[in-house]
Amino acid sequence: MATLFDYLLIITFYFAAIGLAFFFSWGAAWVFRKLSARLQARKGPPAYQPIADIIKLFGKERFIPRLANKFLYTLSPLVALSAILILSFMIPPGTPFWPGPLAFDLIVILYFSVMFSLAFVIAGWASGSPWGKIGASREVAMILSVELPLAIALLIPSLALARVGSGFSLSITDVIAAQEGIFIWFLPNWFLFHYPLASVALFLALLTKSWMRPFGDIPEAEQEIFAGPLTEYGGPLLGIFELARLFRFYVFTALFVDLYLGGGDGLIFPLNLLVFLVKCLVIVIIMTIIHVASARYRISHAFKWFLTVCLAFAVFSLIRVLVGF
Amino acid sequence: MMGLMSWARGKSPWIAVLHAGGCNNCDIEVLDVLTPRFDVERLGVLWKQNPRHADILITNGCVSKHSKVFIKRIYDQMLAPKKVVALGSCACTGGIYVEGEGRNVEETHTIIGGVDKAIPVDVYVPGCPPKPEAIIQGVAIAIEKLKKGD
Amino acid sequence: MIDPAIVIIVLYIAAAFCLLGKKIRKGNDVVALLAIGFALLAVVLNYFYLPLWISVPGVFGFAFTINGYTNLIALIATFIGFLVVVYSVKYIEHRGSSYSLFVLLTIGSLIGMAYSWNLFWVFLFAEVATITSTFLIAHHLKSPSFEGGLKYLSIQIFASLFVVVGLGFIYQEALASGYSGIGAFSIDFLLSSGLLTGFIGKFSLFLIFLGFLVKVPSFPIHTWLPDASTVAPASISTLLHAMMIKVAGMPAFLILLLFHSLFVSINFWLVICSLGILTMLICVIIAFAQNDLKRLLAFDSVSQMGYVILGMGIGGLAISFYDITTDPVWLVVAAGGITAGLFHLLNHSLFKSVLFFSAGAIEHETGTRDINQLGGLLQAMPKTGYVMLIGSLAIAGVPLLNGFISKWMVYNACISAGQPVFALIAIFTSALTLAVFLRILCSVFLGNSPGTFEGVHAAPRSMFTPSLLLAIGCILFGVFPQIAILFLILPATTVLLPVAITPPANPLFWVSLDLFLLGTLLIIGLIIGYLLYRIKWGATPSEAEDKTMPFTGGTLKDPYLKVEEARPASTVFSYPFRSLLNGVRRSHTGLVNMYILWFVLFAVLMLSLLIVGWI
Repeated sequence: MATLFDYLLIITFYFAAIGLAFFFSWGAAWVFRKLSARLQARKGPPAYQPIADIIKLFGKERFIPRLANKFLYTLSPLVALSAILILSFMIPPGTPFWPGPLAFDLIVILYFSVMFSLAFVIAGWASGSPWGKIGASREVAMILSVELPLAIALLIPSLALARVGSGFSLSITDVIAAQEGIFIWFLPNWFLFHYPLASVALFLALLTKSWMRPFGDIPEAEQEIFAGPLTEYGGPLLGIFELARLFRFYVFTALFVDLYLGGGDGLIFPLNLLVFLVKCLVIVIIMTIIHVASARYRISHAFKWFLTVCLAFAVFSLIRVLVGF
Repeated sequence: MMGLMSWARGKSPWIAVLHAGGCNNCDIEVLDVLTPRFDVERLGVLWKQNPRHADILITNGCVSKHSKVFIKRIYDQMLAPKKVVALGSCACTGGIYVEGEGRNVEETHTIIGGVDKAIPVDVYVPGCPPKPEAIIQGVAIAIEKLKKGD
Repeated sequence: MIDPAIVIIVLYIAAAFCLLGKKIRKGNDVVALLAIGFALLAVVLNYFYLPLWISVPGVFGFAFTINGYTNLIALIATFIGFLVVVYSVKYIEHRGSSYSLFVLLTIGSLIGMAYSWNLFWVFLFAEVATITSTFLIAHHLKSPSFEGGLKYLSIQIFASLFVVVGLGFIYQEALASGYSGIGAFSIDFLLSSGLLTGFIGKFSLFLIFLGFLVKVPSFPIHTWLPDASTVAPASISTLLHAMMIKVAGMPAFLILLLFHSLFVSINFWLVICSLGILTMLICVIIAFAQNDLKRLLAFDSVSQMGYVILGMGIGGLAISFYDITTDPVWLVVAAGGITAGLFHLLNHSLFKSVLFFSAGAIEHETGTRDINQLGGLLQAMPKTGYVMLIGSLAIAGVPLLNGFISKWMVYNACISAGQPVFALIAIFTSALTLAVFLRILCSVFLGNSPGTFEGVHAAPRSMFTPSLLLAIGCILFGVFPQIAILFLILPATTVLLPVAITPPANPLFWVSLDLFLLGTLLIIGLIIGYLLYRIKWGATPSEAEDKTMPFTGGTLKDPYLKVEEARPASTVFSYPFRSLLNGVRRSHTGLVNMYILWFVLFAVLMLSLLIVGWI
């Protein structure tokens, strides 16, 4: 068991990780909105926009709808925030700067990402709004469709470690460490080049997890069901939800960068963080372009895509990992 | 703290657009302010068709007896602080759908007049329809009122 | 330490007393509670291996052994049995004396089965429990109850035939070697004498395994459980799901693992693992399509037992690898797999009891089990709702609840044993389980009441307290799983392993997670959110009567309020599996002949694989 001092140290690192994730997400959210605007030939909002939105929401009145279950209605935004904060602590920024009693374990990350979505489902149902219920049902459907390709693509780098020769581990730290060096010619030894199809599957799954089109905004589709699970939310509770959703720009991109893009590439201190953040930003930009360029699909399309194309990609890579070619 | 909040309110007004009745032209005109030429998102305006999320309610069209209840309810469902912009002649006075001049209009058998007959209005933007610049100015005035709180 | 024989005799005598005290209902309850309380006390005392002070040496020739494994199984049986008896006091109205009688007989037999270390006595107690529980399943004395009970009985009796034939083969071997009497079936004797060697030994044990696999239940022969537990009273469903399938099913894996020297083939254990995978995946998909609350829970139960089968299979697989390579790493993997399976067994009996107790309370108060008719019960029965919420999240594997830990250990065991595909399917099953339970929660507890449940009030305290106790157990084992693993599971694991291992430094094996720290961080996150919510930022609330009405675009009339009654349709979730579901629907005909035919085909397949020598 760890001592009290260890605990305090870990909690300090937790706040440091939250700070990093928050400032990166702020920047990335601005890049997202600005780039979306520029791609549509608009000017776009200024850099403080994401944070101004959240502060303003905290300044509105508090209220609880008549048909809502008070306890769950209030609890679910807090759970969403708490889950995503733990995720942003458990996904190391390129290099594990803090010790890992949490081991950066991939399965725990998978479960906490489900917990994050779960908070939205419960929110939608607890708020007593018809649109919330429809949105929550769609959210469950999205969890179902994404989960299998996501799990396979998440675990492929970890399973491939045995091929690289560093033994079995579910820890992201080992996955990052295994990606140092050169693959062929000038290409770095990233899992992206080893398992490109799996990385595509993971990318689409994470795109969906972070509410980006073509599949991600099915649950909240504002032209159809207002704001989906969040329809009945307003004021500070919506602010907490928006704050939690802000962190998606860090969490889901960092996961992809750590697993398939080599994290910090094993460089020395300021460089590795910088390289990592630049990679994350590139992923955010690619996600934004896809988001802006595509329309929203139906749920059945999402099922079809994830349970045929993405699953085929992931399973093909899995077979490659297991058979070893 | 209040300064920060006032700043944030001024920088992030989310709008909901409500069509009360009438010819729908103002409704279409509001869409123009979202287009690249005018782009209100640089002012922080987001189009949220949900009164729970919105700070500014833009209403257009005259209020009929039928729609008065709905307008009142949607206004009630917005969370404080909130401001209302009446857009177009019909929303300001009732327009061509009622008889009389200015505020002193007579109800017809279906139309009761401007939006201020149903809910308190903060900003009036006249015009049939108003130009997008006028709409943006109306929103900007509403933002100034929003900054002061309620 | 109290001899288990005394416990069983006390329970049987109490059962007989229930028959006498026909006129006094209260008397039945008191006797049943006293007897089961005594049993619980005795089992808990046995756990600490106190010096023997009450014993009846060899009176009836019971062959009881007290070791880590029997202690674990007996503790599960007695604890859940105790709660079932407490729950029944208010739940079962209009009962004759027969209910308490058969409950005590069933629980007594299951405790006897748990402690027995002799294949004959295991079989005998299993038969007694099967027959007595048939009466409990048919308790309502209506046509569907009889149908469910008879289906249960006929499939169980048919499965017993396999056990009888297997025991017969063993006895023949024993006679040929000059042994006779019941002692020839003693597990210790069979292990030490080397009686069971070669093909006959393997074949006979495999027949016994198939007989007990029906009681687990595993995929092609799972059909009796949903049928039986749907028609049974909720207390009896709990008894079936939380005790019966564990106590009566575990001998299947007990004999496989103890007589591991006969089952060294890697293919064999891969087949067992695949059975686990098929069980968990197919049954959870079937659970999607159910509208009956208890039937849904029953199919999900079968699916959860798939995790146990998988854990045990991985354990056996690793032992086989150990036999081949003699690398002690495989022993740790084996220990991890078996520990994971047993821990999930324990956890499943906790949260499935919570769910069945709650389902029983709902049926008791509202009179229906149809998910599509229930709704908005969180207002009427808040306590039951929150307890069921905890149970559902635990079974779905939400972090910091016990289901998460045991499932995680199963995944880790699979990946360590070099079978990541099993782990991935298990993870996917976990997501499906989450969706199934979200459907229950959203339809039954959240949302709006259809208006027909005006008079519904909270369940009586004696029906709520057992589930509360178990829900607290779910949280406790979720945050401090070390307690359960160190004191309950690891002693049982060591019994099942062929070679004694040194206890691993980390009782959770690969799980290097400090769950207490994780809980602390989660609570810090919640506090941050709560502070952000509570800080006085300064906006005076507006006063309006319609403010808190749901936003429906202004109207409060029909088309939109119809949407308010919306509930997650099973079709949305089961859409990707529709073709599979159609096939399953067509194959589940409800005819017991058909189900026995499945079992026969399955047994023929497995036995021919065995005879050919592939497994």
